[in-house]
Amino acid sequence: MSDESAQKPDLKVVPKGDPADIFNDLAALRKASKLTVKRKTVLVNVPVGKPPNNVHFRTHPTLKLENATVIKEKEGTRDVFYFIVPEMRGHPKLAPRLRPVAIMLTCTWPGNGILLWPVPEKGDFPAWESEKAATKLAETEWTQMVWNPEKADYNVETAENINIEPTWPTESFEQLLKIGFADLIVDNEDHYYVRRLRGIID
Amino acid sequence: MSAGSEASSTKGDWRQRFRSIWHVDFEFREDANHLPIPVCMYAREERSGATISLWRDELLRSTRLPFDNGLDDAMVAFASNAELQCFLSLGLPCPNNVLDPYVENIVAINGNTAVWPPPGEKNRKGRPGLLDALKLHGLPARPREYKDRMRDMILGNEDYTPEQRHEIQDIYNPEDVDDTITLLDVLAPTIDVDHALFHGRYMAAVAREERVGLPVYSEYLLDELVPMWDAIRLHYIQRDDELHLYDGVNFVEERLWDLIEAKGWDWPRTPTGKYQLKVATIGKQATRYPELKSLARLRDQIAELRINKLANTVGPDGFSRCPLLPFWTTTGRNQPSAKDKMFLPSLPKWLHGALKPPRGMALVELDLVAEEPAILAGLSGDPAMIADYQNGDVHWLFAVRAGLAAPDDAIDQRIRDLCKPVCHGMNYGITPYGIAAKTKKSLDWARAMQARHRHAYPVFHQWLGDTVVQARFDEVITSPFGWRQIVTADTKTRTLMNFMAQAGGSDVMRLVSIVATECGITIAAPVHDAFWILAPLDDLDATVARMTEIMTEAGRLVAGIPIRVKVAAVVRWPQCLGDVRAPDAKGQAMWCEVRDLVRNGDLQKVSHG
Repeated sequence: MSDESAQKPDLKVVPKGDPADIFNDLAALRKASKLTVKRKTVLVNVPVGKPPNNVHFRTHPTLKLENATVIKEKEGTRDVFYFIVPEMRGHPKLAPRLRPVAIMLTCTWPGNGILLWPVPEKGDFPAWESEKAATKLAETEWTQMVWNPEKADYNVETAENINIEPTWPTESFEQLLKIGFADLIVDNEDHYYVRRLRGIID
Repeated sequence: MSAGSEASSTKGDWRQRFRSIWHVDFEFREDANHLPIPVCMYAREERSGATISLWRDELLRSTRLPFDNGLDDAMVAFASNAELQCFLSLGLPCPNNVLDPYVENIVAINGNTAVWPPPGEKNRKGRPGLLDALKLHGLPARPREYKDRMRDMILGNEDYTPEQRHEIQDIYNPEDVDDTITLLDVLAPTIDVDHALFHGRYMAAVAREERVGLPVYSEYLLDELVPMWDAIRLHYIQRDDELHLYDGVNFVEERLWDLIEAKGWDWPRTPTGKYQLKVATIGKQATRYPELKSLARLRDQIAELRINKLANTVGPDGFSRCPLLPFWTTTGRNQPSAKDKMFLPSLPKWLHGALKPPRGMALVELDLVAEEPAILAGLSGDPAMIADYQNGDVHWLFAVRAGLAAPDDAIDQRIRDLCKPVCHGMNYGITPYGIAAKTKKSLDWARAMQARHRHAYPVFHQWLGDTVVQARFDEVITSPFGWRQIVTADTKTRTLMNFMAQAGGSDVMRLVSIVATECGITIAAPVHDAFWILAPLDDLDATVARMTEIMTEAGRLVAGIPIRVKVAAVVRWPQCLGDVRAPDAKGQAMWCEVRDLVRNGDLQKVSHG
C-alpha cells in the first residue's frame, strides 16, 4: 500500500495576504448581545444602627436628617431604633426615653453596605463626641470606630489605602428612611410600641 | 429519497440561495498515520437528483472536486471533517460552502437533556451519530449491526472482491447520503444558514488540523519510553507507594477502602455506595488529608497513565493524531479523544516534553492570555474590569482593588494566588464555602472577598445576573458568534453564569482556526485557549507575528477588546520541548527524571503489553 507510507502534512510558507480580509466576512456573524430583561435590584431593607467595628465607613456629606428623635431599645441581642415623629415627642411615655440624633446615610466597606446611623446630637459623654467627630471625618475618609473599654470611648481610625469611593443608592433619602424605619415610625398613640409602654395587651 | 427531495423545495428558504446542494459521503480506511484512505465517494444533488459515484482509482485521478463548487453551491456531509480530510488526502481543496447536519443537529438539541442523552442511557457520552440523529427525529434508521458489519468490511480489507465493492459502492455508500438528505430535511427549518456555514467552515479547519497532528519525539517515545513503561511504573510505585496500596503494578482498591475506614476519612461515594477512587477524587482528598499527596501524584503522573493510548496515536511519520471531536461540549468546545487513543495535551505536563518539530521546522505554542476574564470584561463592558485586563494581571489588580495590596506594590505571589480562585469563581457563582476551600481561608474572609469583588466590578455583576435572567426568560443562551444552548428547568444557574466565558472562548478558537488555516498557517493542535503551530525555521518570525495578529483580532471580534497573545514555547528542530523547557516549568523535573531512568539503564527492561 504505497499510500499508507509516511505522509508529511502540508507545510507552507504563510502567504502575504491580510488575515483581516478573511475576518471581514466572519465579523458579520457576530450577534450583538441583546439583554432585553430590565433587572433592577430593589432595596428592601436598610439597616439602622452604628457601623460594626470591623468595617470602614463613609458618611454622606449632605444626606442626613438633623434634629430627629429616636428611642433605642434592646430586643434580644440587637438594637432597635424607633423613629419618633415631632408630634409624638411630648407623649409622657416617650419623652423620657427620647434621644436627639442626626440620622446619617452611611456606606460601609467591604461590600458597599448602606445603613442609617443615628448619631447622638448631644455631647453628654466623650464617646458621643467621638461618634460625632467620626461622622465628620468619614465624609472624606474611610473611617473605623472601635470601642476602647479602658478609655470608655471609641478609638477612631482611618483606613490605610482604600482607594475607592462609596457607591450611594439611587433612592431618595426620604425613601431610605421609610424603608429603614418601616413599622418602627411612631406617629400615633395606637402604635404597638406606645401601647406596649402603656401596658395595653393586644 | 424522492419524497425528501420534493419536501426540500418547500422547507427552509435558505436552500434557495444555493444553485446546487450536494450531499456527499466517503467510505475510507485509515493508514498507519491515522490518515484516511478514501475507498469510494457518493454524491447526490438534492434538487436535480444527479448522482456521482467514484471508486478509489477514479478519485485519485480527480484534479478538482467532482461536484459544483462555486460560491453559490453547497456541500452537505454528516461529520464532515472526515469527508474534508478525504478531499485533502486526495490533494483536493475543501469546498467553499460546507453544511454539516451533524453540527446542526447538535445545535438543535444542545442542552436539551430531555432528548439527549437518550432516556435510559444517561451515562452516554458524546454527541449523536447519524443513526442516533435519525432516531431522535423519529426517522427510520438502519440497524447498527449492519453498519458495524459494513464498517468492519471496509476497514478490514485493502482490496475488495467485486461483490464487496458492489455492496460498498452501490448500496452502502448511497444509503448514508439518503439518510443525510432525510435528516437535513427535518433540520432545515431550524437552521440559521449563515451560522451553519460558519460551523462548516470550522469543520474544514478541524480537518486541516487533524490532518497535521502533533509532531513528537517518536524515536524516544516508541522505542525507549513505551518498552520501559512497566518498569518505570514499578519503579515509581515501589518508591512512592507509602501506603502500600499496590500489589506489584496493580492498585488494590480494597486496601484503600480499609485505609479510609481505619482513618475515619470523610470520603465521597459512588451512587452504589462504593468509595470514589477516581484520580481526580484522590487528588481533591489529598488537599484535606496530606498523607494522600504522594498517592495522588503517583496515580496522576505515572501509575494510572496508559501510555499505549498515546503510542496508538503516533504514526511512522512521527505525528500524533487524535480526533479533535469538534462541538463535543455543551459550550461548543472540542473534546479530543478516541477509543484507545489519548490527546497528548490532555496527558500530564511532563509528557509534553516529547513534542518535537520535524526537520527544518519549529513548533510554537501561542496562548491567549487570560482569555476568559478578557471575554467577560469585554462583553459586560465593566470599565474597571476592562482596565484591569488591559493594565496587567487581573488577579493582582483585583487584590489591589480589594485592599489586599497597595497599588504600587510589586506582585506578591501569595496574595495573587489567594485572589485567583476568587476572580475565577466569581465568574460562575462560586459560594463562600468554595472560596474558603480553595484558599484555605476563613468563611468570613471568603464572604468579604465576594463582597469586594461585587463592589470592584458592579457593572460585570449586573451584566452576569442579567445574562442569566435573560437566558431563563428566552429558554436559550447564545454566544457572541451564535453558539446556543437550550435552557430548561434542569439547567443550573452556574452553567449559565459560566456559558459566555466558555462559549465565547470557543468562538475565539473557531475564528482563529478558520482564519489561520485559510491563511496557510499550519496548526498542529488547538488546546483550550492556546494553539500549537508549525512553521519553517526560516519563516518563523513572520508566521508567529501573523498568528499573533490573527489571535488578537479574533479575541477582539468576540470580546470587543483585544485579547493579549503570548508565545509560551518555541521548540526548534532538532530539539524537543523537554530540551528547551525552563527547569522550573510544570512537569520538567519529572520529564528529566524519567528520561534519566530510561537512559541510564537502571531499570529492568520489561517487555510491554
